[in-house]
Amino acid sequence: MLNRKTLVIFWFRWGALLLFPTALLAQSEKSDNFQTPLLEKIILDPVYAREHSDYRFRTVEIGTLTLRDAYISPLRLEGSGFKLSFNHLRYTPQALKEFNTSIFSGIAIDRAEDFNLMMLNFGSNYSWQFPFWQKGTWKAYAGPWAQGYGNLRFALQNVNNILGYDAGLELGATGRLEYKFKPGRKEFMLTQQLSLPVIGAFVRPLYTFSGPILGETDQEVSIVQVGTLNRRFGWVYKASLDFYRNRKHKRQIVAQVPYRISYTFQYDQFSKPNSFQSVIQTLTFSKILKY
Amino acid sequence: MKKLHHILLLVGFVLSFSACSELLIEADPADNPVENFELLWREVDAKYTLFEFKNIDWQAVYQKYRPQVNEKTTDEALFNVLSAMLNELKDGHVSLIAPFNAASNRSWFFNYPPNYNANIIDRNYLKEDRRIILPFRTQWVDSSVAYIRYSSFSDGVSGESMNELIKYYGRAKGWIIDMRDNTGGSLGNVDAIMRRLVSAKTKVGAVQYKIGPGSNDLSKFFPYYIEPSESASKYLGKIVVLTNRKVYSAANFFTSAMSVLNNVTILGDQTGGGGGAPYSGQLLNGWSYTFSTTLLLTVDNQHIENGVTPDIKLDLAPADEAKGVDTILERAILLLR
Repeated sequence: MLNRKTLVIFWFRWGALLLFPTALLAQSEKSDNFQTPLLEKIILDPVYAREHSDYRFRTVEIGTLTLRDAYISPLRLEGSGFKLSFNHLRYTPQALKEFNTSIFSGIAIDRAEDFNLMMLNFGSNYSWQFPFWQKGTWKAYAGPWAQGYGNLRFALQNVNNILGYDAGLELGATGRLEYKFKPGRKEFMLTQQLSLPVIGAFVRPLYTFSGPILGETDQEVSIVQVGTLNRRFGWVYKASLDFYRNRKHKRQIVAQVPYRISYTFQYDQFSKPNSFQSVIQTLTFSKILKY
Repeated sequence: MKKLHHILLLVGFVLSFSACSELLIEADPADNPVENFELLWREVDAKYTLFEFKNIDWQAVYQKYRPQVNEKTTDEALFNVLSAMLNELKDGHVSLIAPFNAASNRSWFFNYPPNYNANIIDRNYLKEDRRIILPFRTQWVDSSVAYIRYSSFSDGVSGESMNELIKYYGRAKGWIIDMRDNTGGSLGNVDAIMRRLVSAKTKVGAVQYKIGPGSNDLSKFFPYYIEPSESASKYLGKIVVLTNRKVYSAANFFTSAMSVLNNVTILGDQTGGGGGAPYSGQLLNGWSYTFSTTLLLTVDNQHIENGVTPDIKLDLAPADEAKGVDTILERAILLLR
């Protein structure tokens, strides 16, 4: 039976495995020759690091899901899920270019534990972040941000309002704050980033329309809406802490391996014609590789 | 030390964000009888599409039933109040489901003669040479007329089954499609059948749904077309559709759509109605409910919530029924002979 207890037990069993998948993948795919510590490039030699440095990493994140989709149910639903992310950072002399793609899958249930919903969230965004301020080891970036996204929500217990969905393209802005520091002998970098949409276009169900009726019969319906702030609002906040650990062989340090702990808070809101709100919070611990 | 402060600040910042979900997405109200009543009333108020057509004052319904609920109302009592409130809608697509009981409206068929006796059909008309082409039960009657029984629109109709139906009964003088006691199901099956009964794109109805919480927030009418199947296998001969009061929902819409065709006669009793497609929701206590939202309408945008009037009104005569004769089916055979 699906309830909070079974969800907690499921994630407790699989959480440890899911938190370290990139490390497992890296060991099978890359040798030490290809590992270039991210922090070494940035902290020790910032000018060099930003000339065409290219970093890609995959992460698997686990986290929580909270949502209210008025089209599916009037109730607030809570649950958990996991996210696969593919990240690409390119430092050039002019800007930091960042490309992220993620897929989130989760299950949420109501307080009475009688109703459940499955959610799939897909997002792919690209941004150019221009450095505009620097003081000591603090550095700030800002720039344009574009995103394509899709959300699917399945509530098989419902009759005709089984499938809720949102899909859209939008433009917005992103800001990033980096802080490098070295408490003791270990080097760290804190990064915080906030991205939010400003304008776009999206599709989603109209107020109470019956998807199966229109799906079965191929009736033409215009459901594309303009996503201005009063209809579509959201943000993504990401905080990450990069550090590296020495890899030793026969007590000799042979490499410095960068790791990242990252927290992401994603809020999505649609106001009209029926409201939708979701919060996805995820946590990941991953190893970073230079490809 | 300063650097440690920065880390702690970040941790605090992250923890603050994690608490944001509670602020951003408001918690549900407490699970008590009053809040459950209010939630159900509000949901119906915002999303039900037939208040004006049925001349229902939903605000007056609130005034009538709200005093019957308080913090100490038991689950059984609350169920009775909520189901009585929903019964004011007189809608067969309205239901309330609790772990210990389920309520729905039956007035659309209960107070009318049944006009269908499955035993008579099974024993006296579907003989040994009957052919079952799933989901249809079929029989040649009167040597040149095909009897086709379709019990439920929940039973899927495939292209293959329509091919076989037309292959075997394509030469019939006429088809009798018996819809009696078919309480509906999937609208996709309406299309699956009708695509084989038309030779050109035909408008057979319309769809309208709510686009907002206001009582007048209705979409424009979207025409409901049937496109002919690409298959050459079609039946364009005379058809008689048999109906009774238990023809509801998708079957009701099928009847309305078929009545548009020039070669079709609707025979029997007025259908039960059900022109609104059901929509689901949940209460704070875990009970679930359905009520009508999306409207299915006639070709000229009229409601079929109260049913489709037959071309020929006919009841099952008790004397015939006693002799094992289906009055309505016999009349259909006569029409097609």
